[in-house]
Amino acid sequence: MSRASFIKNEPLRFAEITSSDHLYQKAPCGFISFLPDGSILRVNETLCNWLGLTEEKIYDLKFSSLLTKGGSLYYEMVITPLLNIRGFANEINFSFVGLNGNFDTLFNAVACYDEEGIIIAINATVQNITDRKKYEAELLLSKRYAEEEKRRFEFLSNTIPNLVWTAWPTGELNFINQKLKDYFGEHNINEYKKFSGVYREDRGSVVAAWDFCLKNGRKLEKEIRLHAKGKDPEWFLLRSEPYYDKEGSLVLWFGSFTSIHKQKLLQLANYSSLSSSLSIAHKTIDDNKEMFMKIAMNQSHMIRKPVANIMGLISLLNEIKISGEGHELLILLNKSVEELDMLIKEIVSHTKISL
Amino acid sequence: MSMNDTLLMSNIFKRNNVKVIGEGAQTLLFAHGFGCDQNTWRSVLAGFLDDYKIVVFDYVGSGCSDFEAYCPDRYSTLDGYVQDVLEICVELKLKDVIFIGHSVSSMIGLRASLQAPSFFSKLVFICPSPRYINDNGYYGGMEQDDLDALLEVMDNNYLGWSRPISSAEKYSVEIPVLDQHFTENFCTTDPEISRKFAQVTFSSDSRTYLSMARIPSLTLQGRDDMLTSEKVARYIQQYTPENRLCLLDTAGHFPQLSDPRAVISAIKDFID
Repeated sequence: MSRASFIKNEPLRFAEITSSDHLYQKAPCGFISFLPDGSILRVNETLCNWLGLTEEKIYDLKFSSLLTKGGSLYYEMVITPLLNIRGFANEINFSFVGLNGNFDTLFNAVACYDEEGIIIAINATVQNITDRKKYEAELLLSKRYAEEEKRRFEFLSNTIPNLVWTAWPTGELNFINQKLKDYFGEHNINEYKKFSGVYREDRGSVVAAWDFCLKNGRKLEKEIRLHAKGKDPEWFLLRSEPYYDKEGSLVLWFGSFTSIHKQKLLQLANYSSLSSSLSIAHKTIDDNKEMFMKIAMNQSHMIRKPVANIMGLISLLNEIKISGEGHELLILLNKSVEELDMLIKEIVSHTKISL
Repeated sequence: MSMNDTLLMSNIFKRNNVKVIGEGAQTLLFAHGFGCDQNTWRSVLAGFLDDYKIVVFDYVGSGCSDFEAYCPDRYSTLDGYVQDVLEICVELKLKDVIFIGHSVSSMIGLRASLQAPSFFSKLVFICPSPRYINDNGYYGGMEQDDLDALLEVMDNNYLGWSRPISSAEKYSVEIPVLDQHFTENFCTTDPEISRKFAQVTFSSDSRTYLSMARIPSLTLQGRDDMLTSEKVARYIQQYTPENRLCLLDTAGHFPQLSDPRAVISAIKDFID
């Protein structure tokens, strides 16, 4: 049915429903007007019903007495000056005292002034938000619970000996524990720039590794040196792991520095003693090898001398007339001595290369 | 004046949003109470502009003060607020000031006058209380439960109109009464700071300071005031040397807003 046909068919009903009085009395919100001293001028039916009082009874009361004690104090101290000075107050959460129990509301008010700017009266609307308020109370409870959890985490993080931190997915620091603050002697988290506490020589590789982890959501584990003002650089194990929420989004990085300075120094000392024993062994081997080569050189020299003699004697024998069988033997003898000579030369040249 | 002094002065001006109006020889220093700021004085200032130099300010954490300067330790007792008052006096080189404090500022002014007597000549207490909560035969008018209930309401309004301050949330309003003098700025409050100020205010106890007062004081008290009462005002009069009591026929905790004429005339009567 269109508006026009409704007005044509039901003119009386239209007039009744949209009349100012009907709108005021039966509106789905409470209306109340009162003087600055709280004396109530007028209240609508809806609010009377919520309060469980007749209009006349309400006119005997002051506005603030309709509120719970905390609300009336808040009204007196905070809302009164606000209305006086600013002229309006919006979305104030007040609990009204009703015959059937307290009900939560959202309260909006405007002030009416006289010609001199002095407040004469206040007009206010009251929305019943009891159900919504329950939900809000749950939200507030969850918020408090989350804050409590945060405090617990911070407490826990201060009881362990590690330097603990958390960072946002962007890499920006979100929390640092007391141990970390104490280590660097700086309590303001904003003063901690990107790994500026890492020892100069290690910083480049740490920043690169951390950037890689940030991009890929991978955990980080690295031995690094931290360098606090007035202290020597010290070894720490840097660990950082991404924390994913239920939906699988990376929400936080948990990180820690565990001191490994003593172990690391011990490890480095062990390395150096092992390496020095290895070099001693190496030198011994080299010395032995050299000695062996010298012997080989000497021996080869000593062997070559008689071999040269034999070869000379063979060439002398070749000039003497010898029987056929003797000549055959001489050829065989010459071949053998040449083979022996070749063998000795090879040994000598090999020894030279090695030395 | 050295460079440092200039810097410090401008810092305190900014920190406490200090405004100096009028040229009179005698200075009136107006100090607001919990839950509001210097705007609370808008209707009474007009009555003094012609004859007095007027200083108004916001405590750190209130109004348009510098919220960054809020240090929880310093403001964990009324003494932090006393320091605000004294530092303003030092920066403005004020002497023999008439201090006009509303609500909790009454006792802040009294404490300041004990710490630096030469800064002050008279004190005006508007709706004062040396202790809000009843205690062992002492009637303050409130119980600890009332304070807890108030804090609960403040918590419930955490998400409402009170939000952390940002410059974008400041806005200006022309006020008819004082339009030739200054434009008011309204700033949203920080709920955490308000909560702490409420706790400091309502857990404060200034009863022992009353008898130490060495300068004349005036108490203004209306009727139907939920925070304090004629009974408390009479207690102050009984224990404070040279304290005059003036009962006003106006309801509520803010007579400077509900009946500025009566407040102006009572103060003038006391100081002129």
